[in-house]
Amino acid sequence: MGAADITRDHSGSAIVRQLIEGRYLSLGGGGMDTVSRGSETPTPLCPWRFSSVLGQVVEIEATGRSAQLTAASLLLYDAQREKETSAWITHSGGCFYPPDLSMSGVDLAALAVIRVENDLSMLRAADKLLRSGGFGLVVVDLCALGHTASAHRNSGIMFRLSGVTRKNNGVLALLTSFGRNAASSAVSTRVRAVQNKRRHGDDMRDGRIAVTIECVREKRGNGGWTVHEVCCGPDGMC
Amino acid sequence: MRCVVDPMVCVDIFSFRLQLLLNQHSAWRENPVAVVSHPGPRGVILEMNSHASAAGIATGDHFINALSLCPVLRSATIGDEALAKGVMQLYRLLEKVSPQVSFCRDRPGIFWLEWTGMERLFPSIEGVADAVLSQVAHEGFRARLCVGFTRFGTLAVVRSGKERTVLTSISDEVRLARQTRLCRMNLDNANVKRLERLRLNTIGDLLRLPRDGVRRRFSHQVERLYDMATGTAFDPVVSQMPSYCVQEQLEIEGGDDNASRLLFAIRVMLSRIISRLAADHRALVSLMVHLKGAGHTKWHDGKEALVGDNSINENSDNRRVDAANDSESPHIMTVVNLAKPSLDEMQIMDLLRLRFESLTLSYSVTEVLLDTESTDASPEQLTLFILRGKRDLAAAERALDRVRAMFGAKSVTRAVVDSGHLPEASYRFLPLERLTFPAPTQRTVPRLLRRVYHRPVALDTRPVRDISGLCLGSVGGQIIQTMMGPYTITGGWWARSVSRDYYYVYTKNKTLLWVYFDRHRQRWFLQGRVE
Repeated sequence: MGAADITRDHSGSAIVRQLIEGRYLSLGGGGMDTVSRGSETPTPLCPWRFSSVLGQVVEIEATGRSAQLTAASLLLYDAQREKETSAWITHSGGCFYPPDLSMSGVDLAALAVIRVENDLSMLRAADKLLRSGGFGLVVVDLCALGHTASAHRNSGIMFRLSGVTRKNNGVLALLTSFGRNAASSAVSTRVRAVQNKRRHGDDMRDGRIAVTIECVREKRGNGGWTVHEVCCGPDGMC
Repeated sequence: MRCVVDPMVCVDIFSFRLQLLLNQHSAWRENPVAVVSHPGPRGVILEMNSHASAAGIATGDHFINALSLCPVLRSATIGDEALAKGVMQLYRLLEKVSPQVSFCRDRPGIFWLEWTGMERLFPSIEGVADAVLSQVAHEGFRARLCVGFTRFGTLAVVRSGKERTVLTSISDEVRLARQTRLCRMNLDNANVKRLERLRLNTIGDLLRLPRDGVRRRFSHQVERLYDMATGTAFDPVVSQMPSYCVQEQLEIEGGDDNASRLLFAIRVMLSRIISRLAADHRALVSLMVHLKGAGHTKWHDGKEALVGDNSINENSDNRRVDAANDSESPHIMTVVNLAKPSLDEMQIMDLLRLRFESLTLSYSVTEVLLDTESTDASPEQLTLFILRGKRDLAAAERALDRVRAMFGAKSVTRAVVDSGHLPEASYRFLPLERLTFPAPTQRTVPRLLRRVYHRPVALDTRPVRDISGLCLGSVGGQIIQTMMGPYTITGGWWARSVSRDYYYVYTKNKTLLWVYFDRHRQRWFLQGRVE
């Protein structure tokens, strides 16, 4: 069973910290800090879950000690747990390392990996998949192109994608390079994912890294939330 | 066996909560295990296994005391819903043996089956008893069984502890029932101790007392037992499906008055409800949404939405809104009734969305409760639910066909993990032939992902040291802060020998690189990054 700890910060707003399966969640006051008490183990209404970002375009921007791919894989795993079909659009030259994704629990056989040559093709493919209504989550890895990707900065293209995502109740997750953000008017939630080597709580052990997913901007909610996830490093990393 | 009274079978799934718990956690069977009333140190031990009782734990103890006696005690709660689900599961199982099944409302795990009309299937009542024990054992439960003539009589005999008893006459049943000890009849500990102090240890001892005396001196529980034993309590056998109610509850810290966000939260809860109903082969008939909070609000119009044949009929005569009272916490309750039982989440969400559009919340909702009424689902509804899942797979396949047409047949792939040692040999991309619904594996801790370059990027011959520090050339001159490794991979001696020393490199501009030194080529390469 999970343990919930509610503390107040210096301004008096409530912060819910809950350890569920190694995940700490702290939310600033004013947001929807929730603990669901259904028949299953209590889980918070975590803002970094598939169901929390349904119908939205989510941007995971790169930063120092980036944990972009890891943050996207968390969303992907959650979507698969909810039996949502998913696709990952990337460049043929480089992409996620499949053994790592497999060890994260993701069902690779059910993940469609679309490999194309440029950023515009990536967005066109994403449009086709989302428009069909048959895909719940589409991840577009623009970072695979490095700093050459620019199609996502076009408002027209992004608005179209945003409308299609909302209409078909899916999620479009964009992985963008540092300083090359997508057109902000079309993006509902922008987050930054960072690896944190410092010890976090009592769950840190050798070979574990804390990943912090911080909301930079959120259209629908109040933003300002942070999710901490404890991850296992790759083999050979301590 | 010939008798005027039709015989019946009483099945007692003893320590029902404990058996449910052990079925959920089969690895605990060899450990001391106890079921507690609620989580926390003050939880009361309700049931426990022999390992726990050998450690000195007794029912009624607090969990913290039990833990001090037995530090390796495993415990958990079994909630009302899990209990109801277990009763339902066994009810359906026993219905396969006899359609006339009834259950004990007060004590989950006790059932009665009647033999009348089943003579062609089971020539003797012993056949029914054997079929029941075999079915129950197949489901992972252990049971005691008594074939007798009255409900109370068979219950008392089955509680005496014998695994299988077949009674041939009512007098035998009465005799054995009177010998059953009172501590086995689910009386409270306090009542049992009180009766034992008066040397009333068995049902027979209790029945020697006058009824008025029992009513005056003992609790209602003992009086009820007395009436059941004497046959004066009216307790008709009712063959009734146990009620099954799936609920979801959500508490909102700080409250929320935004209807859209509440709707999102309700959608998540509804999705879980529908999954659970489908797993139990049931469909939703009506959904009650309770919104509790502080402040006051009102519904614009108390209309109920009915669904049938894709049309919505509104019956404005049936107001289902509880008017808010300014002096108490407000509570809105709205009901969505479906004319046809359904598992269609989108359809139900559409109705809820329509209801919420007319809702003006002037208070913060602190608790959302979804209550359901359900009924057996038809095979077609279940098939549609399973096939549909969340998304339309046929539409997804058509979209992938369009992507293939636009970007080439090789653009749509799936990743496959291979058994090669080298990173580039440990995976492949194969054409995706058919899309399926995902089945992710259970994991305890997620993994940090690496980005791999299909062709490793050659770096300068070796890291160079300048005034800033050790630096990796060809990667923007990144200064190395820490290097972790090496871990060496060698192989391919039968064709082209490979020997690589892999490192993870933290650079000063905060990237984590995955590099290796190729001993044969005497060169550094960038394999990828850790992101």
